[in-house]
Amino acid sequence: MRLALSLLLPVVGVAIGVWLGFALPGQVPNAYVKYLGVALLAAFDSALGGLRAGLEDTYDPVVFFSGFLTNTVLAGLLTYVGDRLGVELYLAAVIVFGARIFNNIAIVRRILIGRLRRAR
Amino acid sequence: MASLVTAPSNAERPAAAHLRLSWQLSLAVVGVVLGITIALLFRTQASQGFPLAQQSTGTLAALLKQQDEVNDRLRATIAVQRTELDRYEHQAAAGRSLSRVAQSELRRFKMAAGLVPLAGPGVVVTLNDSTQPPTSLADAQYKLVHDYNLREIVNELWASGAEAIAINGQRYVADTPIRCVGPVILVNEQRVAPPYRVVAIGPGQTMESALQMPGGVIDAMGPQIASGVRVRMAMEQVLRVPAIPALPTYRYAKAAQ
Repeated sequence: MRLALSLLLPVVGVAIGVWLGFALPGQVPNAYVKYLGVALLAAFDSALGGLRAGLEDTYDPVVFFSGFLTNTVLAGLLTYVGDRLGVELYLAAVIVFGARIFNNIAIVRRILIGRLRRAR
Repeated sequence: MASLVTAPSNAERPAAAHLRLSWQLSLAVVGVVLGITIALLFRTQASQGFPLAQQSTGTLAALLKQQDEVNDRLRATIAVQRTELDRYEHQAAAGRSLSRVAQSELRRFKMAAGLVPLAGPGVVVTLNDSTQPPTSLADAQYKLVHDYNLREIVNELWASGAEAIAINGQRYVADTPIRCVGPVILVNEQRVAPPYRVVAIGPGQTMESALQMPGGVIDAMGPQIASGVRVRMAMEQVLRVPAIPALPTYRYAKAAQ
């Protein structure tokens, strides 16, 4: 129950974000969809990383936000350079983030299962 | 929360609690970003719709079938709405003295536009593919009835005085296309299958002889007829042509001043 409560804030954050995204006027031009996709992965990766760190009690806000920023910027840069060179470099970001997302989900899952068992 | 977190000692608890709230807040901030990107991507994707060119043949076939069913349902409502419209027109006409003239004008316009089913004497041209299936693409040219055969016949019928024409129940009006897509012929974008029955209301004798003129449209089908394509003509006293399902909508053309 308390675990669910601690996840409430992030979930509310996502909900606010979705609401904002739909409420915002304007459209993303087609050329930037790729960037948006990479940004989505970076944000998701950071969120899971933060969740994991929080659960492991190793959370450090500086590490968290700097990681989020550099990851997003680097992914964007890779996408941009890839577009210029005609090489789909953004795939590198997709693969790395994708793998890390799965990795972090696995770890978070183990932590949660461990806690639930111990709580009993 | 303490029961669930890796048991911090009592002395550490305030600091740990602070940290915990902090990671939740940070997560919430990134969550907002995550939500915005999700929503934006979703909106962009939705606005692009469904890129048909990227779908598989199976998907497209299913979509086409679905759309056909929708069309059929919509077409079924047309007749109902038209009778309703007729009823309103009658009521309107009954109420006003001027509308007797307007009513007869309207009737003429509707006849010209193909909005009313018509009946009268005329000629029926029946065309059918050869009973032997074509063996090659070149052979198909001679053993099948083609869209251009129908176009030429319709053209000749108009030229010889036809007042209304229908092909397999599809009224032929000013903007009716006859075209072929793969192995099927479309009239008014509706599939028609052999035998093709071209019904023309008009001077039967004139239309029949116009079609049979030496060097005329039936004559030009000689090679096809020799390969087994069947063409029959019959004059009849009572023929019926249906109405077109709907008036065209004009998006570009306006009445010129």
